[in-house]
Amino acid sequence: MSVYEHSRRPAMSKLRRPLLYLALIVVVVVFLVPILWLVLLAIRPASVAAGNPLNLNFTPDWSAFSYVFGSSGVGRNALISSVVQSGFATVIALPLAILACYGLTRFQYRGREALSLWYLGLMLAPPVVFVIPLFVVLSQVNFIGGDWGVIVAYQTFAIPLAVLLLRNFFEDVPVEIEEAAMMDGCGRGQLLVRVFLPMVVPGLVVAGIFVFCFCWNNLIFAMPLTGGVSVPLTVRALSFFATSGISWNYIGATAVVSMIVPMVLFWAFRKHLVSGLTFGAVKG
Amino acid sequence: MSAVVTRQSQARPTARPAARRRRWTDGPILWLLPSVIVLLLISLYPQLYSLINSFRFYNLSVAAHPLGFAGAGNYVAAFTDTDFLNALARTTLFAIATTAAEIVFGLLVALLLREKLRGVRLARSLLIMPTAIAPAIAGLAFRSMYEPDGGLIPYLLQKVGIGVPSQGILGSRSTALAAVGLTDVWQWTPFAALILLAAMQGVSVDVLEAGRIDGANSWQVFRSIVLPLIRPVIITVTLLRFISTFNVFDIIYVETRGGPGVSTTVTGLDVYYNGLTYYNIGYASALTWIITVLVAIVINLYLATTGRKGR
Repeated sequence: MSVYEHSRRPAMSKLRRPLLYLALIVVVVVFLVPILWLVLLAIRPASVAAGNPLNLNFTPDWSAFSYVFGSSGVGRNALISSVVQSGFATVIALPLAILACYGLTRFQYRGREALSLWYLGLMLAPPVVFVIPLFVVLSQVNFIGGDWGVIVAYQTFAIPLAVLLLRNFFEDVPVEIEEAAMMDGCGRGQLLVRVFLPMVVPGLVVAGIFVFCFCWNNLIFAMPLTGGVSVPLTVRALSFFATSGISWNYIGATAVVSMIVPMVLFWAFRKHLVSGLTFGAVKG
Repeated sequence: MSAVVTRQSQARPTARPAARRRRWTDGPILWLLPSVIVLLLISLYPQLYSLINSFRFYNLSVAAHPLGFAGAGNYVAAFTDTDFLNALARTTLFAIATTAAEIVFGLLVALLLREKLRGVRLARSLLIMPTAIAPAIAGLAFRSMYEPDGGLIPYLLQKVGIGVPSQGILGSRSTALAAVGLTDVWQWTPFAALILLAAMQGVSVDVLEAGRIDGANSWQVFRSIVLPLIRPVIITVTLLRFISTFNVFDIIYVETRGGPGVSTTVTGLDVYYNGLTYYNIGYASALTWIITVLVAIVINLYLATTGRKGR
């Protein structure tokens, strides 16, 4: 029995590592292929792919990018809209979140935990339950079809997300520093600006990046609330499904430009990914 | 006696340097007010407004204003609307199946990423990418890969001898829902894997060593030591994924628009079409509220298990 055990183990461990490497390669390929496929869609001539989707013997054709993002292309406006809408939504959400985090972490009171849970609940609620009432209300104030309607709508998740991510950073500011500043006659407003803000800069960056990416990747609010030149990239990519045919190369070009931004930002902030995507529930 | 003691202990803070009386502005209210007011205006107000609309005849394609009180009519219609009830069942199935797949595959990938292999750090970073991109963009990638002519997936399936429906994978009622589900699994398995990996790395090496010394093999160590220790994180990720797959919209809208027929119409699409395609605001508002209550139950379940950290 024990002889059998001994003879089996080395054989197993000899095979184990090559199998693990094989598994690792398969996993990486499986999870990267759809992303590379979008790049291929944009730069590979349709005739090359027709018979064999795996045919990589081609000279890249960048004309789809110049068509979509050239001076008269619809993609250029879409890119600007994505930047403007996500940027403004983030810039509006952060100051509100800073104030909320100060109130959530620096005072003791009943209902504090309930309030935190309310922010989390807003974050988890189905977006479709906001989109229809917001569409009705925003159309009454003529906010549909431009940048502002969608910037307002994004706040339904931007503020809660920023609060949940920033809260952990505010909690890490030691009470002693706060007390020392107050002893020196520093008011709470000054305290926030001079003591807290410099200490939570990394948190502001992390919260800002995630809020920006969540807005950037949004479709359900952007689709009904924007129109014409204010249509962002995610919605624009869908406009190349025409009755005359699907322009996959334009879709690919738009998709590539859209996905580069969150991919680079997530890569740069990968340390904070676990906390960011679980809305601060799991610390990475 | 105890009253005196508490009074004394309460008297101390006020005797501190700034000896002025505490006003309400000294408390947290002023700090919390801005974000709370904005969120009330953009979430609670529209939702209450939609609650009112859910009791009205309100169809923008008929008239720009509500046409009167409908009583519980919209709700009665919803609970007798087989399209909606089927969508609800389909959504539940979709959410359970994709969540289960994401957790199981996520665990397996996490176990793989925990191994000391060359290139494993690079692999970890690369696996962020599916989760980073917009679900709408992921949907586009898969829609293209499912294309009957020139798509990668039917091509590969035929190579290994698996038949593909002639209407295409997304064009067939029997395969469309599974196909869009696969997109979600592709996009969020790495997310589950990276979180579970972080949790596993948090398990102390001493505990694992102790298990090995006691004679447990690696499966036993995983089952009896690692798994129980990362259980809270597994529950958190499972509920997060369940809530978010129940809310699914983007990938299905992009890949099938809910078709063929209604075979991929989940509640998110059903509500969206009723409200923003047919402009039946009253009915869509009622559906919205039914979903809100259902999701609120799940969210509260989530909060009850993970939200109470006593802070």
